[in-house]
Amino acid sequence: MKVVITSKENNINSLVDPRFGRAAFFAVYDTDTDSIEWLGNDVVDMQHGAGTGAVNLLANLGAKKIFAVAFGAKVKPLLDELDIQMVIVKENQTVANIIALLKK
Amino acid sequence: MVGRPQKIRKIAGAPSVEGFIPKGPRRGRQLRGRGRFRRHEEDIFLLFEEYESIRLLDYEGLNQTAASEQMHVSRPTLTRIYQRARQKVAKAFIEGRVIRFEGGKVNFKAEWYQCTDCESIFNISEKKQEVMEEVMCPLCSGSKIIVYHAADSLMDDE
Amino acid sequence: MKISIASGKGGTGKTFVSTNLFRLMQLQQKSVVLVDCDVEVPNSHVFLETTDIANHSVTDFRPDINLDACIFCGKCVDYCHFNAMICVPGAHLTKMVADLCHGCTACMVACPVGAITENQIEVGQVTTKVTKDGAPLVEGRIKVGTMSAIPAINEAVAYATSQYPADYYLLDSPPGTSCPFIQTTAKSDIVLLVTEPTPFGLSDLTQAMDTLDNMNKSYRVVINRADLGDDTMEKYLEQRGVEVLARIPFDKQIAACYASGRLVVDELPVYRAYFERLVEKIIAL
Repeated sequence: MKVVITSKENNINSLVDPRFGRAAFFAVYDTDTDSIEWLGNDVVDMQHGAGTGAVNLLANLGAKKIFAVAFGAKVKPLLDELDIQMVIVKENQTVANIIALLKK
Repeated sequence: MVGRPQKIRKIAGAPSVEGFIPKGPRRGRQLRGRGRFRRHEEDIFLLFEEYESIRLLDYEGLNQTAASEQMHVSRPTLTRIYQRARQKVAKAFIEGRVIRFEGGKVNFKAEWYQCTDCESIFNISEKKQEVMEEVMCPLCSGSKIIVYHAADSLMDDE
Repeated sequence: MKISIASGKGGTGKTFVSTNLFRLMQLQQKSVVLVDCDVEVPNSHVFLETTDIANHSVTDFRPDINLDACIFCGKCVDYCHFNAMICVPGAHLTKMVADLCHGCTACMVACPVGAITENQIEVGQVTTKVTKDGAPLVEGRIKVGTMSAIPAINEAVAYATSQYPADYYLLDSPPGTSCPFIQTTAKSDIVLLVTEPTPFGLSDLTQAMDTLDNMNKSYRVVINRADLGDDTMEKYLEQRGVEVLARIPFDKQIAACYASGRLVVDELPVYRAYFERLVEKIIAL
C-alpha cells in the first residue's frame, strides 16, 4: 500500500512538512516494498487550490493515507470521497520516525 | 471545552464471544419460549456497557467508583447499568433464554479519532466503519484510541 | 462619469460619504445613480427610503460533468487555472471543487468528448430600489455561501449603467484592497478614497493607492474624522502628491445621525456644507 508523508526536504531525516498543499516534498512510501519515492511539489506556488492540486497528484499515484501536520478545509471532502485517510501527526517528527512507526 | 475524551468502548475488552445459548431443557421441563422455532425477540440483548460493568466489577474485581471512572460515567449511573446487567443475566438463567452481546458493527458517529500512544489524529472513512470491529492507529497500530472532540479547530481555513 | 467610493481600511466612512453625496446630488437635481457594490453586505439602502421596483438573479457558470462520457484524460485539470478540478481515473472520479471554480468555462472548452456541459448557479441578486425623489439605487447582493463577489459586482454595475442612463454613477465599493475592490474601482473613471488619520487607516490607504497606481486609476482622498490623531497622514499625502478633496471632522452628532440611519445632509446643515463643497470638487474633476 502506498502512503504519503509530507516533507520539508527530500531526504529521510527531514522534518515532516507541517503543510499539506504547500508541502515542499511528498515522500511516497510503499509499505509492501519498503521503498520511498520523492516527489517535488509543483503546486506550492499556486495562489489557490494548492490542496486540490496535491490531492489530484497523490490520488493518481494510488496513495491510501496521507500523513501531515495540518490539512486545509477544502481537501477533506475530496479525500473522503476518494477514500484516502488523513492522519494528523504530532509536530516535529522526521520522515524516518513516521516510517519506523509504520513498520511496527 | 468538551468533557472527558470519550473512549471507544469496543476497544477496552470487547466480548470474545457473541453470546450464550442455554444447553437445553432438563428432562421433562419445557423452556419458556423455546421450541423448534426460537423467536429472536425473546433473546436477551446485553448492551456493551452492561457487559462491561460485569467485566469490571465481577471479573476484574474493581469497586464501583473505579469502574465508573473507567467507563466515564457517574457512580450512580454505573450502579444502574450494573443492576440492569445482573437483572438481564438472571432472567436469561431462570427463563432459559439466549444471551446476545452487543457487538459486531460498531456505531461510529465521530469524525475524528486520536491515538493516545503516538497522539496522531485521524479519520475513518464511512465504508471502512461498516466492516471494522476495532479501531487501530494508522501510524503506530496502537489500539488505545479515543474520540477526538476538538474537531472544529482541526482544519485550517485558507 | 463613474466615481467609486472606496477605502482600503473598512469602517472609514465609504457608505457615509456615498449616501450623503447621492442624496445631495439628487436634491441638486443632478442625474445620479447609486450602485451598491459592497455585495457581501450592501447597506446603502438603510439610509435612503426606497421601494424595490426590480430584481433579478445573478448566475455564474459551473461545469456539469457527465461521468459516463468522461474518458479521464485530465485535460480539464490541465486547463483549469484555479486548480478547481480533480481527475482520478483509478477512482473513476472527475470532479469540480465548487469553492475554487471561477466560472471561466475553460474546462468545458478543454474536454475533447463533450463530457462537460454548462450549469448555471445562482450567486446573487441585483435589486433596483427607487428613492422618493426618483433617483435609483442599484444594489448587488451575493447569496450567502458564495465564494466570489465578482459576478454580482459586475452585474450590478452593468445593469445600472445600461438600465439607468445618468450623468453620474456613484459606486459604493467593498472594503479592502483585494479582488472586490479592484473590480469595482476598475469600472470607474475616478476613485474617491475615504480614510481616517490613524496608523491602520494610513497603512491600508497606502496599499489602496499603490494598487490604483498599478491600475493607472486616478484617485483623490477624503479624510474622515480628520481632526483626530496627528498630521502624519496629511504629511504623507502631501509628500506623495495626492489631493485631498475634503476633511470631515469627528462629531458625535454625525455618528448619532449615522447610527440612526439618517443622512447628515438632511439633518446637519453644517455638514451639508462640507458635502456641497465636495460635490463641487467632484464635478470639476
